[in-house]
Amino acid sequence: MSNYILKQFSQQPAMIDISFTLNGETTTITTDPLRRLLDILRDDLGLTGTKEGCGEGECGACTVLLDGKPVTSCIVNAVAVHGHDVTTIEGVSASPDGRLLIDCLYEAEAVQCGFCFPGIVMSALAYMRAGGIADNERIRAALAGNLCRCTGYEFIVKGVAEACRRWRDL
Amino acid sequence: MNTLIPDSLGQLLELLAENIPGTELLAGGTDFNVQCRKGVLNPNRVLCIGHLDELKGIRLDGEHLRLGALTTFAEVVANELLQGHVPDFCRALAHFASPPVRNLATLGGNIANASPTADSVPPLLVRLASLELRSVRGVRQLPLNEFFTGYKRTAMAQDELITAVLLPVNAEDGLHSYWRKVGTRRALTIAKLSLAGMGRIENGQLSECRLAAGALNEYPRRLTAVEQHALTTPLAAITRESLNEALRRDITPIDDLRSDADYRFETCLNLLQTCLRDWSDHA
Amino acid sequence: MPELHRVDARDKLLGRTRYIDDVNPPGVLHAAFVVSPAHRGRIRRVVLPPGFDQAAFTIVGSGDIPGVNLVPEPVSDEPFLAVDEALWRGQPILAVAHPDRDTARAFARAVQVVVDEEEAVTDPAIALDDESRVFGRELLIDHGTHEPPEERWLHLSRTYTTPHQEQAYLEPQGMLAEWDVDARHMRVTGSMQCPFFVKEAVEVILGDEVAEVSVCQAEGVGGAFGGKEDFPNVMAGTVALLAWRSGQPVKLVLERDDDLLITPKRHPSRITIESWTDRTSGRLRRLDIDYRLDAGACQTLSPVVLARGVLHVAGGYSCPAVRVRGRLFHSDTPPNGAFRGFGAPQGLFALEAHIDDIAAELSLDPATFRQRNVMHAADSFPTTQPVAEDNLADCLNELLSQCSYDSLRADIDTWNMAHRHKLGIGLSLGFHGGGYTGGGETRLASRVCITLHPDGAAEVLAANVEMGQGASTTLAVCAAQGLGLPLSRVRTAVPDTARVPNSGPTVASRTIYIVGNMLRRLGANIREELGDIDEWCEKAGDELPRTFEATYQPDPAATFDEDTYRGAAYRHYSWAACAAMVQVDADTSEVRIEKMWSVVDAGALVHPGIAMGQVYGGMTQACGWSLGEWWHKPGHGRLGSLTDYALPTAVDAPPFDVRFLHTDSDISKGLGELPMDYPAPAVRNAVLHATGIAIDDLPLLPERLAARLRKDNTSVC
Ligand SMILES: Cc1cc2nc3c(=O)[nH]c(=O)nc-3n(C[C@H](O)[C@H](O)[C@H](O)COP(=O)(O)OP(=O)(O)OC[C@H]3O[C@@H](n4cnc5c(N)ncnc54)[C@H](O)[C@@H]3O)c2cc1C
Ligand code: FES
Ligand code: FES
Repeated sequence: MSNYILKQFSQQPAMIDISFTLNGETTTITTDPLRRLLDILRDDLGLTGTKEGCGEGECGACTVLLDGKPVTSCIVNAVAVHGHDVTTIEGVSASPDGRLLIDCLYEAEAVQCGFCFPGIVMSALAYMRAGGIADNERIRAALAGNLCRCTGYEFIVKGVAEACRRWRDL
Repeated sequence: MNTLIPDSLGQLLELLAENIPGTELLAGGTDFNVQCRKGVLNPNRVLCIGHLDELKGIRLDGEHLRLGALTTFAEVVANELLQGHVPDFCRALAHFASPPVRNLATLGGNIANASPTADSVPPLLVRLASLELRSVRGVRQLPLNEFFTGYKRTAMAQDELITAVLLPVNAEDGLHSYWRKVGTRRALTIAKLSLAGMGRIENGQLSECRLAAGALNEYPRRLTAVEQHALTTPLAAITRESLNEALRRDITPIDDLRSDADYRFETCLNLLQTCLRDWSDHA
Repeated sequence: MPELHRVDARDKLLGRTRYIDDVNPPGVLHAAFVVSPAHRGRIRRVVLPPGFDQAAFTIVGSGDIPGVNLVPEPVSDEPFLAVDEALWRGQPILAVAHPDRDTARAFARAVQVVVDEEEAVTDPAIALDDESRVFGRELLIDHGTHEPPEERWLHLSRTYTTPHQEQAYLEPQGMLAEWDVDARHMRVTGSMQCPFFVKEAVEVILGDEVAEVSVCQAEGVGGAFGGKEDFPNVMAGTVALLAWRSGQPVKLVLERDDDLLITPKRHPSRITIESWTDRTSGRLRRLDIDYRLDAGACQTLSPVVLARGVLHVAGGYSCPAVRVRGRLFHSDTPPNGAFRGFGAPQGLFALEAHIDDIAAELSLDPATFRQRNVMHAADSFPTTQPVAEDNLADCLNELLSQCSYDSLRADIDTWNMAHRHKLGIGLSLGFHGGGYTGGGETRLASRVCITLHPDGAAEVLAANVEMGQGASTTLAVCAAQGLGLPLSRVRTAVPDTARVPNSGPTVASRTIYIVGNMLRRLGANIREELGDIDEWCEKAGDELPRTFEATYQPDPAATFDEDTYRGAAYRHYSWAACAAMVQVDADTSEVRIEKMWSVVDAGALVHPGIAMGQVYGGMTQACGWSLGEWWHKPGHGRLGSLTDYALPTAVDAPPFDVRFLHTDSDISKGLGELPMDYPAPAVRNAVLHATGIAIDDLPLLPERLAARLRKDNTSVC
């Protein structure tokens, strides 16, 4: 953040340049420092995989990885992203563990309406990458910030557990 | 609205010293963004602090564990130094919000937001935490116990901010601890009430007893009447009735959308009983 | 055969499926509603806010509607946009559109609506207790009640209530309209269950201004559960009006808090059951049921919910004398609408709770009492329709062995003697009639098509949307089964009224039961006509693509008299039995569902994995409704955000053990709604077992349980 100079703006919208890594690529945009990361992704950069279900941090549909950790992008501001690393659902299939996770959820018949999944996948991937094991209770705890109204979670947990198991065996 | 991104803590303090009304700090943003969206918060001027390294990090500092104000709940839960010295504190904070929100929400923000339901506060109160407050005028330490002054009101001056939370390094040594948060569901929930405790039992009597409750007063508070009663009465002589009477002096629960006053009172009483029973069972 | 996975799953997992909020045609305007701030009253004036460039907004109100300002519904009594009266808080009054979404929303919020507030009733408990609020037709089922009940029978009378439930589809309501001014063609795309309903709504609101309306489901529909059955009509009418007015594409996506405030919910109910049971035989002799629903401010589709409600409230039990009276009550809240179960969950909650209450009075185990009274073939429904099969009894018996009921209950009783936190197990039975009630399917006269394409692919053309329930896969499976083709050769078209025939709305558990079975038959007929399809296609040449069509064939023997409520209300019923195990916390009275078992008969399963997912999901919604979902707290208003409206998270939902019975049947029955119908009373009955306290009002809030524990002076400690 040291490249930041104090900026005083008298009018709205005050714009700043932020640059960050997005799905492995350096991205620079000029934006309002308070703009929601969710809007930057969906509206400014056209990455509509990340969803908005509530806009208040409650549903998890907007979950992305910020420096590898899941965060609800509807309550993350542009200023918090500068100099950091962001992974969205669009970047998941670039990694072998991401592809494995997608395959396992697919095979477990975990998906219904799909609206929660871009967020579920990000939380589950972070769980796997933190060395998560195929333990139903722990997987449920890791997904507690991602509401799903369709599935009752059972097949999601099954898919994630299978991914953890197969990832360890690799 | 004016958004400013100071380069350093020093610069931030200077901006705060301008004492412009309607100034808000933006740390993890979990309260800030939701409150702005709901129109509860309409800041004139926003000072971004999330990037300031001076406010980050957890380290041992003499008698204290020093947790920078920007320490997130997730960092507390996973931090090895804290797990070594105050493991029960780490466990207590795992009941907060959800994994993605724990990665954003900071301790400083949770305390400064001064909600009656701030979940970090009761566990910090019973561990005798204090706050490091800073302004261009200098640095001061304030016991957390003296920080809240009313509903959403604090002893922080307009030009001050919380720079760190200080926990005595031996906060849990030789003590029993207790934490229970009651919400509408098992995760992602705002507390209907919560109870934290630290205590020691010697010869059938509490020689140390600190209790604090969330969501039962205008701000999270120590239960001083109950503590006094418990410290001056042999455990065997503490009854539900005697606790009830002391608790009435400590809390003023209300009916609201989330719960009812009667339920809050009764449940707090039940939890107190269970807390004391657990401690004496393990004494 | 290799295992078939959902055809839509991979794109959804990768974030590639486009939901309506992901679609932004060039020049699109974003819309927002201006809603009533008052529960009820005369709208005095509307003041547009200063500080905005008003010329940049398109603004429409009821006066701008060229057609008719009434949403087409079974009872068309709800305006698209309020006229002079505000009928509920959150009722749309104006709609505004602007190129920038946040500006449109900020402007709409800043509009000041001045209403002369009148006294309003928003508490379902008050509305449902006030007979002067009855509106619409009263329904009556009366069967075998000419003789008075005998004195020696056990007589029990109790009242049960259930609250609002929000569908809480994870994707908020969203709709896009594009206006082709030259062709006077309105194109609507969005999140919806019923494209042909939406088409009619747009035709109604635009009247002669529009020459053609076509409606298409957005590629992704992020959950619906009934919540996108009727309200999309309002959404579509409004965006179409704005698009017609502005000449530009207009999209309206509701913010979550607005969605909670504005849109229909499950009807609150108040159901009084009076029962008479023979003490010696333990057999039900008579049920008198007063079934009341809070319809909200308008009737809309509530009469249809009421019909299904009265037809399910007597439960899956054999009872020689049944009288059910069903009525709608008016309140000053959003018109309540469709939600999975559609009147059945309310009735089954009351009835299944009552069954345990009778069993308790008779000191009979609730399982034994159910076994004595469960319906068998040769019994009849209160409508006199004969019961065709023993399948509900089969479900119950299978369930009892699945959860080792007798030993589990005994183990729990032993455990409870030694522990503060009490365990309990509870049972319930459920059933659901497939498809529209009575002659509804005959009137709908659904049509489906299968097109054979030159590349050898078969395409299913139907109006039933993929909203998560798996229709795009299961309809293709049905057609593939009929045609004798592998699933890889069959695809389901995205429902677009410009392309697909009207196979009816995606409601009433009818997609597989009606449309799927039609497709299977149509496929088989095609195969019969053409012989080997591959060979025929090779020779067909110019004949391809060729489209085959089928129309719904009613069963002439199955008739239902809608005046007397006698006859075959539904052609087929799906059945289920359920057990729930709970733990009640001694300190907090919180109820935790430890495990749920269920045995389900939905006939042949088109896709076992998808069927299982429906059951898990529906049961989880029922768990939410039983423990924590409600919308109106008397004296404190509404749980107006997802912070307070507590949906079950992954750590709240219990593990499930679900089995299907009679899957070798030659028909696939309805499954979508059934799993929401019956689990809630099992939870209530489990709490009764654990604590001895019978809670008759959902949700089973710890506050309610704790208050009863105090009052009864029993302590769970
Ligand atoms: C979905 C969700 C769930 C939640 N669940 C819980 C929960 O279970 N328990 C709970 O207690 N809370 C919960 N919260 C509330 C919130 O997450 C916490 O209060 C959080 O700790 C605030 O920290 P922040 O860094 O996000 O603060 P911000 O939103 O950045 O700031 C909040 C306020 O604190 C002030 N502030 C921030 N840092 C400082 C500082 N260092 N010095 C002085 N003032 C400062 C700001 O001016 C602002 O007014 C939840 C929030 C969300 C969105
Ligand atoms: S949209 Fe961000 S948590 Fe719901
Ligand atoms: S699949 Fe629909 S919300 Fe999860």
